[in-house]
Amino acid sequence: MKRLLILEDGSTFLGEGFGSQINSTGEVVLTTAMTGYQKVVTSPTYANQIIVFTTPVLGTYGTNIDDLESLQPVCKGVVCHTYTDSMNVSSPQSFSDYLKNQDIPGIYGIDTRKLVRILSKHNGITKGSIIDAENDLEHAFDQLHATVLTDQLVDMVSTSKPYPNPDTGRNIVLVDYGVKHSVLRQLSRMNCNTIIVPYTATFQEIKNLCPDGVLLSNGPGNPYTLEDSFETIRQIQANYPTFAIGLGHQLLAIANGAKVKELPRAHRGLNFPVIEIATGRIITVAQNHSYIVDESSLPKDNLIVTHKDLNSGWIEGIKHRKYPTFSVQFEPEGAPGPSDGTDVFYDFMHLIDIRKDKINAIRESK
Amino acid sequence: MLLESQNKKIIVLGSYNSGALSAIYTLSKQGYKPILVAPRINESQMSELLDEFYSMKMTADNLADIVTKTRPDAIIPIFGGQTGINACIKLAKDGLLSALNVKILGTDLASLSSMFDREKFSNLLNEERIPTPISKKITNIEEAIDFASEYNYPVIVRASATTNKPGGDLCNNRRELIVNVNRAFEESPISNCLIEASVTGYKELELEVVRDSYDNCILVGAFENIDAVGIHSADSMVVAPIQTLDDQEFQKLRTVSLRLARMFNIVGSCNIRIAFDSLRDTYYILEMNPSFNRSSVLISAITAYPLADIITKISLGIRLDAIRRTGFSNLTAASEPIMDYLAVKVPNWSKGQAKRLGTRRQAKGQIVAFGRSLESALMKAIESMTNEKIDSMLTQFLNIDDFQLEENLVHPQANRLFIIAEAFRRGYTIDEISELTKIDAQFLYTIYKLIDFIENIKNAEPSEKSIRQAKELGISDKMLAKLWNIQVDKVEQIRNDLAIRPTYKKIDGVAGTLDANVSYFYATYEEEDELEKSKADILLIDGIESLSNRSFANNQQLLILANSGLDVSLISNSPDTLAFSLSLPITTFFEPLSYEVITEITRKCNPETLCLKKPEELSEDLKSELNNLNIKITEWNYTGGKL
Repeated sequence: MKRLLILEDGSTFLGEGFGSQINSTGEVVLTTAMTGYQKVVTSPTYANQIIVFTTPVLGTYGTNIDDLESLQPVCKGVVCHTYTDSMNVSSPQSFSDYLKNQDIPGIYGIDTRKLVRILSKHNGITKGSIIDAENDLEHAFDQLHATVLTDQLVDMVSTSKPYPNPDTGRNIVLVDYGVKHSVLRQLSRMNCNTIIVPYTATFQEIKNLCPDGVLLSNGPGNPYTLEDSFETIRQIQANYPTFAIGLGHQLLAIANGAKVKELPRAHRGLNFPVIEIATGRIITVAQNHSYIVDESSLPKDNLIVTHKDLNSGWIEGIKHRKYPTFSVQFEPEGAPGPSDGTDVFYDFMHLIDIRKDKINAIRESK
Repeated sequence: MLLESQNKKIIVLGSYNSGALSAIYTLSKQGYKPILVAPRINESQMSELLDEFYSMKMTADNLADIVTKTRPDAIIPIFGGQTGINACIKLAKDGLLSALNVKILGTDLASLSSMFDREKFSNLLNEERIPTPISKKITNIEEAIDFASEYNYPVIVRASATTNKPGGDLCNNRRELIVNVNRAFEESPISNCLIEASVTGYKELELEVVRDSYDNCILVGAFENIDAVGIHSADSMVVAPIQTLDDQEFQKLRTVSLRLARMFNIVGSCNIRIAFDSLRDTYYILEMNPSFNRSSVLISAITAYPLADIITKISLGIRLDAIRRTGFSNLTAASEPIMDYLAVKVPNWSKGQAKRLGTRRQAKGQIVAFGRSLESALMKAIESMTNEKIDSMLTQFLNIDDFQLEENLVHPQANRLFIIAEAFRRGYTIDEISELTKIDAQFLYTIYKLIDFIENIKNAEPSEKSIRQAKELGISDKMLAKLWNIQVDKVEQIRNDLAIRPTYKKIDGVAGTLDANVSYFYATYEEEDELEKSKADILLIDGIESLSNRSFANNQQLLILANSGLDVSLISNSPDTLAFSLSLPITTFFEPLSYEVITEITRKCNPETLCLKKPEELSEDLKSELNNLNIKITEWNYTGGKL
């Protein structure tokens, strides 16, 4: 079935539909990920976004249960050059059927490289729609221009009630801004007894759970829409070892007095080289962000920069000078993406252990 | 910088591919005096580029003579293949290098030799709990038979310490085992061999890793063999990026590859071959090759990452992130390349070659083709095969009965693609063919789609829709003409009238997300054309790639031309030439060498002269067609200045 991708700037791309046949509107973004299309599509960080893949072929391995980063994907569309069904016998359903069941429309057969080059030159958010080729074009553009994209994205993806990911190790409270399941998988690998709480959890509620450490998760959207979180985060960091990822990292920075700004060109993909400043080590990591902590606004007596994106110089990691608190902008769990940066999870465990040792030492001396 | 003396002389060992040519070019630009030592240098051409070079057989004695005579500061062995590396190892053992204070740049000799010693390599990996196929060194037949009883057939027998690596012999039963073990004992200079439990039938993948002397390590690229383990990778069809693994599986392979590069202290690059069992989600490391070989060349061409140039700079002690990528304002060699296209490599055979494929290499060369779908990349690769006619894709093999067909599916020959196509025509299903060939069903599905389209389009009218569909699948005007039973210029004319033209996309390694001032292109039929019209002095038409020494000798001329100051464009489908052209200031088209392709490109770059690399290798048809273009035609023999 013929479908059309239209952008705010008037561009149109004619292609074939796959997945669901519904129309949808969202922020059009691109990712350079060459693997992991199912993980990308189910990641809550892509909430309300129409995802354009630079890799030309999608669908080659179908779908599988291991590749879910959330149970309910919230992206608004998938765009690629070629779609193919899979011959993989262990795949329960094709990628197209999966998208159809999740009400996500797809479009293929378009010049995605041309589209990517257009998007890479745009600053800020680009709205777009996937519609039927037969729809009235003028009407579709009117609707597109009139649509105001919601900024309450975290509310869409955060859990509404606390729930456990039980295990026998350290107690972690994870504040859910749209956490990817692979972050939970990583915590499981380290046997953490994790309790995931809604982003609206108060400090008292978190305190009642007696965490050994608190993790502020990744998530979608603009950090400034979560004004109520900053005070809570200040209280958390003053009382518990705290680790933050992605959106969590941006919230942490703002809570400590830094400013976050929008990037001229978003970073979404799996192959970004990042330099670890203390050691000079270069790691290759997955990134998915269109906002960045502005280095010129960094309160130097509170925060130091630990990681930088090699090519652009942007901040990819910070640490608090006084509290056992640190965060990364990139996706250390990969999923999809390399595991070069996974060490930071172990650093978090280490911080927790140091603090526990101190507390035990104090108790014993009493 | 690594070298203190004023001398700045560095010996570069060369072998069959053009890696050494890239190295001497890079070294000159970095202010060093490279001395090239390689077999079969074209002396008259090389004397235009370098003051000092030695064309000789790569033996330890010969090398010793040259080192003694030239007193270099250092040697870069990595482009000299295993022969060159072994020669250096001997010189080091004899004490010559330390006596003359000659450093080895790049991966150290001890690490290199442990990677080439299969038994040592296996043991080191097993100590680290990295899986390798179970293997055992044997010195007599009885041990071999016992091993096979314990681990079951098939097994692979490899002669130890041989310098050329034909790939080992697959033994399906006791009789084959005895024959191959005896042969291995004869071939091995130390009269023993290694026997290995086979992982035939698993997916075979190759990953190329680059590491500098500061432990920064990245994955340059990876490709997947379409043919399963059991067929030598030079004889296999391959595709990049990897198609049938999901992210979790792929990252496992990437992680272990980086780990291996660190374990063996790689300074430069290495190629890692892995067998992957997707049912059990396990892998086995088959081989690690640190020399700049056919796979390195292929990865470099596929990703447009100038591997030879970067390896040379790493050897000089430069950090990956200090090596800027030409054509970009903000990109270094520490960024892993990203592909927004597919590349397919097929082997090239010599005329009439129809032997059964196995673990010993038989291919004479490689061809690579680029497209935006597996169908189009594969189709363009087929079109590029010089000794197959297009007809092979279309012809019914009427003289083969079903039994013979199945035989050829189980025991693949050089023409297996066309046998598979025939099987589809006869109604075999994807699953049946996959069972017989052990080729992943996903690739068979691609061939099925091509055959399905070809069979259907015969009955269609030449129209905008049918031509566009055919072009998107990579089908040439010539094939369309045959399918529709009309003249090829009629197809051209219809296509012209409908304004269906190829669009040229850049291979920038960043999937279009950064401004790239690079000039490598491939053609697809889409909307945006990134190639501007220009006026080139020369358009070079490459020849067939050869895995023998001709490749190196031929590309010397390319270096001379690139260095001449003329505006040069090149059309090539040879991975070695393509990889080499990445360091040169020329415009390269990664395209098949057909009249249609050449015509379309001459429209855009308006060359003054058309230069044919090896006129005698081109078909008579092509030569006469080229005369129709009314452009001056010559051979590659321009002379230019010194490096």
